[in-house]
Amino acid sequence: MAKGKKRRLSPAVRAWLKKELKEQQERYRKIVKEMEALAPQREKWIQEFFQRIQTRGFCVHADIRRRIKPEEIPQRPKRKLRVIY
Amino acid sequence: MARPHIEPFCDRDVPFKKMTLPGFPSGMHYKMLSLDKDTGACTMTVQFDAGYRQPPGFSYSDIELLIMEGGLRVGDEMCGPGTYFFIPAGVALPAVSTKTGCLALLMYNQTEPNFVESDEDGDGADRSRLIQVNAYDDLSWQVPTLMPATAPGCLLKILRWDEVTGALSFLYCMVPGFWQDNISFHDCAEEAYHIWGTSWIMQFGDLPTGGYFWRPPYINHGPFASEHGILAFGRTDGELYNHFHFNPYTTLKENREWAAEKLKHRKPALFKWIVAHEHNHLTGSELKK
Ligand SMILES: [Fe+2]
Repeated sequence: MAKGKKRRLSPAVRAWLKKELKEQQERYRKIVKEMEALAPQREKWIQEFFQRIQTRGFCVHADIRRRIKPEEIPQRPKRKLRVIY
Repeated sequence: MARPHIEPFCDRDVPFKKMTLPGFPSGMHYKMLSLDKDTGACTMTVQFDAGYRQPPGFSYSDIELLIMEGGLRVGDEMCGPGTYFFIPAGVALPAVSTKTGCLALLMYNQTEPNFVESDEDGDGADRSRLIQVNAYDDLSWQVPTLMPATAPGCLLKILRWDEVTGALSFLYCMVPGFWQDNISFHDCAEEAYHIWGTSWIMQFGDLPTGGYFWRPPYINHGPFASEHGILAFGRTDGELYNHFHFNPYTTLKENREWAAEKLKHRKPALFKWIVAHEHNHLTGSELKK
């Protein structure tokens, strides 16, 4: 069986796909908004993460951890932090 | 696979819709989790109503199915929660029915959902690739053997490994109190559905029961934590390698460049061969199964 081979889709199937894709775009836009609203909280979480990797350590592999030096902590770039692509 | 980045999404926030595609019997409802805009391939939460009956038949797509609640009778066999199927394109299942109803995850990997009523396999169907296993009863939790690995307390049950692409389907769990302080990304797309429990990811917040994501390659995720633990289903569309780092500000492009740079150091002979003049336009035709 040539899986996924090109088949002529009926108008009913094409209409279903079109509707589903439109709804997916709406879901995507809603997620982008929600994730933008989370930005201030996320900034706090990032600072907490930076603290933990300098004390408890950064997880390198399984339970192997490494304490990150203060000078290794990344600087925040000017650009907006993007989490949804 | 051209699916957008859907993360986080919780199916509990939306109602079931009636499946209206031609060929499907009545009594099937779904929530769309993600959909490939080019092929119609998709992942859905599906509710088969009590009394649902589906005649023998096959699909033009590979299908993955995980029963989460209730059960399905497949031919003479009763399949309960934890049962996972990988049904290759064209492989016909016997009649499927449920007396009490069934909640499942249903995935079409190459095409939109379709069903062809048939007592026999379609032309060229490869029945040798059919998988049926009860992951709750018949598989044990494994410590991941990937290098580098997730933190202790994240365990796997491997349901399927594609020998050509390296794609994985698996159950995973996090024990209560799990935490992992790093940021991860992969060279493959990653998908997951929370069967039970809530986990936290720094970029996206909490993912509760019914939570779902489809995450394209090279997207930062992590650190991770779960207060009470989780049970989840996951998939990748290629080999899963954990690129761990601690810079939350990197972009997708930077991550991709870093991964390519890593290849140079970790697999220098392969990297050299790929970038050599005569090999920098691989088509895949070189790869014979
Ligand atoms: Fe991941």
